[in-house]
Amino acid sequence: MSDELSALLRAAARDEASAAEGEFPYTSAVLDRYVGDVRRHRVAGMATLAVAAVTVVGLAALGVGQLLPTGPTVVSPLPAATSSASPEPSATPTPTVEPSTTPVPSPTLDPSPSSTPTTPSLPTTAPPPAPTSTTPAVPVPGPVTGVKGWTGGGSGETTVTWDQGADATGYRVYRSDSLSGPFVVAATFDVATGTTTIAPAFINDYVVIWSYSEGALQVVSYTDAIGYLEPTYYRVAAFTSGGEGPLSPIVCATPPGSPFTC
Amino acid sequence: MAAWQGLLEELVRDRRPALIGYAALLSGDRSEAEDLVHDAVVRTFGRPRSFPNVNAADAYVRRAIASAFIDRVRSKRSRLAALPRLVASAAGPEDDAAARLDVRAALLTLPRRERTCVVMRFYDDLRVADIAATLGLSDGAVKRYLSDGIHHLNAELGTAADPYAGDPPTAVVDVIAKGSGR
Repeated sequence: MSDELSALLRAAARDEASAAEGEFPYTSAVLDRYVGDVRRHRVAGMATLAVAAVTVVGLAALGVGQLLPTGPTVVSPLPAATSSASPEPSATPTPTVEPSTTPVPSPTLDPSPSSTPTTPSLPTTAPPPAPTSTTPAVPVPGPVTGVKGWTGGGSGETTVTWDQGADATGYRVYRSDSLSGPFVVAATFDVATGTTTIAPAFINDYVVIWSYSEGALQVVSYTDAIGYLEPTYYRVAAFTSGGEGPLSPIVCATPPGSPFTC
Repeated sequence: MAAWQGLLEELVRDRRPALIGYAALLSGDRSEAEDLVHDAVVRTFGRPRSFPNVNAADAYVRRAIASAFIDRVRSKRSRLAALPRLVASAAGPEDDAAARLDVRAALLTLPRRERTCVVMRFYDDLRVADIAATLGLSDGAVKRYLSDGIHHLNAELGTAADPYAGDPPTAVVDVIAKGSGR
C-alpha cells in the first residue's frame, strides 16, 4: 500500500514538471544565469578561503612572534663592561648600543694626547661593530676628573682646572659662595669652538675659560675675578648633545691676598 | 569549457523541469520551486565537486533542494497562499488528476519537516538513515516525522502507507529510568 502513495507523489511531481516546462522554458538566458551565479559563488568561495588563509597565517605569525624573545633583549651586551670611568647609568633611552663602546677614558691612561681638543684620543679598546640604528644615541659623559681650585692672578681671580675628557663637547662650571650650595651655572665652555658663555647672573664678572695642553694632559682652565676675598666653591660637569654628566666633587679657591683658607 | 560547466548545462537543459516538479512537492509553489532549484544548483556547483555523470549530479541537487527547503524560512502566510494557487492551477475532471491534486493539497497541510521526510521516503525511496543524514536530523526524529506525516496523509487520502516499509529493521531498546524509587 506504500506504493500507492509513492505513485501519487511521483505523478504529482510529473504534473508539476510538465507545468514547469511551459512556465520556465529552457533558454540560453536561463543557462547563462545559472553559469554566472555558479561562477560568482565559486569566486566568492575562493576569496573567502584566501581571506581565511591570510588570517590564519597572520595570526600564526603573530603568535610565533610573541613566543619568540626580542632580539635586543637577548643579544645586548653588558653595559659598561669595558668602561671603568662611567659608573653612572646612562640617561639615553637606548643605552645598549653606545655606552659600552665609548667609555670616558682617564687622561692618565692616554699615552698620546691629542694636540687639538676637537680630536680627542680614542679609547684603546677596539670599537664594537657599528649599531644598526640610523640615529645612534650620543652618550652622556662621565664625571669630570682632575678638578682643582687655584688662586688666580693679581686682579682677585680664582682658577679652576680639570682634565678634558674625550667624549665631552662642553663643560659647565657651577659656582657657590657656600660649601653647601646652592651651586648655579656661572659659565659654559664649548670645546669645539672654544667659546665661553657667561650666565646672566655673572655677566659682569671677568670669566675666561680655555683649553690647553699641559704635558700629557689636555686641561681646561676657568678663571673668575670674583671681586672679594672669601672662598668660592666650584663644581664642574661635562655635557654632550646626549645630556649632562654628573657634577664633580666640590673644589674651593680663593683670590690672591685672601685671609681665608679653603 | 570547464567540466563542471558542461555537466551543469546538461543538468539544466534536461533535468530542470523534473527538479522543479520535485521541489514543488515540497514548496507547493512552482515559482518558489524554481527558486529552490536555482539555489540548490548554485550551491552544488559553486564548490569544486566532481560528479561522474548527470545522474549523480541530479541526486545531489535533489538532496540540496530538500536541505534548502528545510533551512528556508518561510512565513505561514506564504504557505497558505500557495494552496489556492495549486488548487486553481490543477484543473481536470479525471479521478487521477483529482487524486494528484489531493496529494499535493494534503502534503501542504503537513509541517515542513514532516513533508520533506515523506517526500524523501516515498518519492526518493530513501531509507530513514539517509534522510536523517541529508537533513541533519536524528534517526528517531525522522521516524517521528514520518509516522506523524504518513498517519495524517493516510487519513486524508485513504491510503495505507507504512512509513517503514522496506527499511531495514532496527533494534529498539527500552530504557528504564533509574532512581524512580519503584
